[in-house]
Amino acid sequence: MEIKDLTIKKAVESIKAGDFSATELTETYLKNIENKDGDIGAYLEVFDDALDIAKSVDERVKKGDTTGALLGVPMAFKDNILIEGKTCSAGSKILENYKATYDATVISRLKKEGIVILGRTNMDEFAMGSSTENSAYKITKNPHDLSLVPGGSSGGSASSIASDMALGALGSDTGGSVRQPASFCGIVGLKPTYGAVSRNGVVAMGSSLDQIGSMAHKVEDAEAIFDVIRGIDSMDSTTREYPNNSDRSFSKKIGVPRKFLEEGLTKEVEENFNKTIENLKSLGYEIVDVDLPNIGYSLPAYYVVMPAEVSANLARFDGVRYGSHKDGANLLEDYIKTRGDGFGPEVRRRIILGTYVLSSGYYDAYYKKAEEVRGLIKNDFAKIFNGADAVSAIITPTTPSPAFKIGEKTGDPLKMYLEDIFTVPANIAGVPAISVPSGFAEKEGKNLPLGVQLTAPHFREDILFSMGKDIEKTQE
Amino acid sequence: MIDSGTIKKLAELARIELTPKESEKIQKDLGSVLDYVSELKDAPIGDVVSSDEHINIFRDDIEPHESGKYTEKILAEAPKQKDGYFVVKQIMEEKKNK
Repeated sequence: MEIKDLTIKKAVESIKAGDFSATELTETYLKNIENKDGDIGAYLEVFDDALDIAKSVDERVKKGDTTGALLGVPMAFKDNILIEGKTCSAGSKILENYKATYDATVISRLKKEGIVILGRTNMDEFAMGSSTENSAYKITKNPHDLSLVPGGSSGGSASSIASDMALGALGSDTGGSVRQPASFCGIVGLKPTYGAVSRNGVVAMGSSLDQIGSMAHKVEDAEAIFDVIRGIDSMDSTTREYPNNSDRSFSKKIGVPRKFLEEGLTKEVEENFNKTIENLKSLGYEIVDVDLPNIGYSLPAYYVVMPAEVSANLARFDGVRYGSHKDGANLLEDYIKTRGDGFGPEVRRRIILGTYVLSSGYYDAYYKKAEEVRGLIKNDFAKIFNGADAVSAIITPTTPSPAFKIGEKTGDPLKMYLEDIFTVPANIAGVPAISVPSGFAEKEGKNLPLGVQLTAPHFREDILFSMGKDIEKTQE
Repeated sequence: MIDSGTIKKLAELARIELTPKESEKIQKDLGSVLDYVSELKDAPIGDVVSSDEHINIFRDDIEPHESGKYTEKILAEAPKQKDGYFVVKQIMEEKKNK
C-alpha cells in the first residue's frame, strides 16, 4: 500500500472507514523497517507484538468501536521513554537489560488513543549529543545520505520518520534534541512549552529543560500527537493545565534576531533562510528585526545548568536498584565501578563537569550565575512578545549548517555543543519551538534537508502550528 | 585550568572510575568548556526579576497504593534482591584495633 503522502489524519480516517486496516498499515511500516533499517539503524528494537496490537485495533473497528484520536497509527519511541514490559536503555550500557515497570504518561495517553507501538529508537546515550554517535549500541545514519549523521539526540526517531519506518514518533528535547535531528532529516519536530507535556516515565536529563516532543512528516501530524500528550499530570509537578487557544488570535508578525544570526551560518543555510522569509512575506507576513540582547549567553548558560542537572539526575544509577552492576571490594567501590563501566565517555564528561560547577566555591560563579542569566534571557523573550511592537513568533534557521559527516565532530566536544546554538534558547526560556522543513541544500550531488525554527510565547503552540503550516505551503 | 588532582577528586565525588588516560582527556575538555562558559561573567545581571513560568504544582499526598503492590515487579529489575529487599554490601565495618 502507498504511504508516501499519508498523514495521521488520513490514516485514522481510512482505518475508521475501513479503506485499509491497522494491520495492513502496520505491516507496511514493518516491511519498510525490514528493507531499510539494516542500512539506517534507526531502531534499537522492533517489538514483536506490534502486529498483535494492530489486529486488536481492527477487531475493535469491526465491532463498531472506532474511538481513538490516533487509532491504528504506527509510532516509534525514543529509547528513554518507558513502555511497560519493554527494555528501556536510554542508549546506555548501564540500562542494557532494564525493563520498564510502568508506562510513561505520554505512552499511556497515546495507548488510550489507539496507537500501535513499532519499537524503540536509537539515541545518544542519556540524550547527550547532537549526532546519535554517542549511543552505546550503534550509529544511526541519515536516510538522505548514509555518510551523514541524522542529528541527535533523537536521531533514531527522526530517521525512522524520514525513511517511512514510522508515521509518528516521540523524542525528548533538552537543548534541541528533537528539532535539530528533525531539521537534518527533513521532518517536523516540536519542542513544547516547559510544563506542557509530562515527563513522568522519561529518563531525566536536565529537569529544568527537558520536554517531550512529537516528530512527523507534517505539522498537522506533530500537532495531532501533541494534542494527545499535553496537559496537566499529577506525576509531573511542573505540568500545567493546557489553555484553550482556539479563540485566541495573533498577528502575522514575525521577528528575526538578526544580530544573533550574524555568526556562523553556512552560505546554503543563509540563502535558504532568506528565501523562507521572502516566502512568508508573500503570504502576507510582516517580518521585522528584533533584538534579544542576551540570547548569545544561552549556550554558555546551558552548558552550566544542563551538566549540573545531569550530575544530580544520573546519581540514581547506583547498580543497586536497577541497571547493570559491577562488583568491587565494598559498596563504595561497587558504585564507582558500576558507574565507571556503565556510562560512556560523554556522559562521564558531563557528570564530572556538573559536579565541578555545583561544588562549593564554584556554585556562585557558575550555577547561580547561569540561573541569573536565564532570567535575563527570559525577559528578552518577554519583551519582544509583549507590548505595542510585539511579534507573534521568532524565526531562525534550526541549525547553522545541514547534516555533517559521521565522525566529523566527535573529537571535539565544544564543536559538537555549538550545534545547538539556535535551539538551546527555547529550552533556557521554556518557550515552545518547532522545526519545519524549508528546502534543501545541494552538496556533493545530494540534496540535504534544511529547516527553519519558529519560537512562540509560552503555551502558544497554536501559533507555531499555524505558521508552520504556512511554511509547508510554500514548500509544496 | 583544572589540575589533575581536582579531576581525581571530582571523579571520586561523582562515584565514577576514570582511567589515567581518560582523566587527562577530561581535564583538557573541561578546560575548554569552562573557558567557553566563562563569558557568562560579562552578562549584565542587574536586579533581574524573572517573570518565572516555571512553577511546581504539588498534588495532595493522599490515597497511597496498597503496600507491596509493585514490590515484586520493581525488585525484579534489581541486580541483587532477597526477601523483598535490595541487597547491598555491608556498610558498617568492625573496628580493627580494639
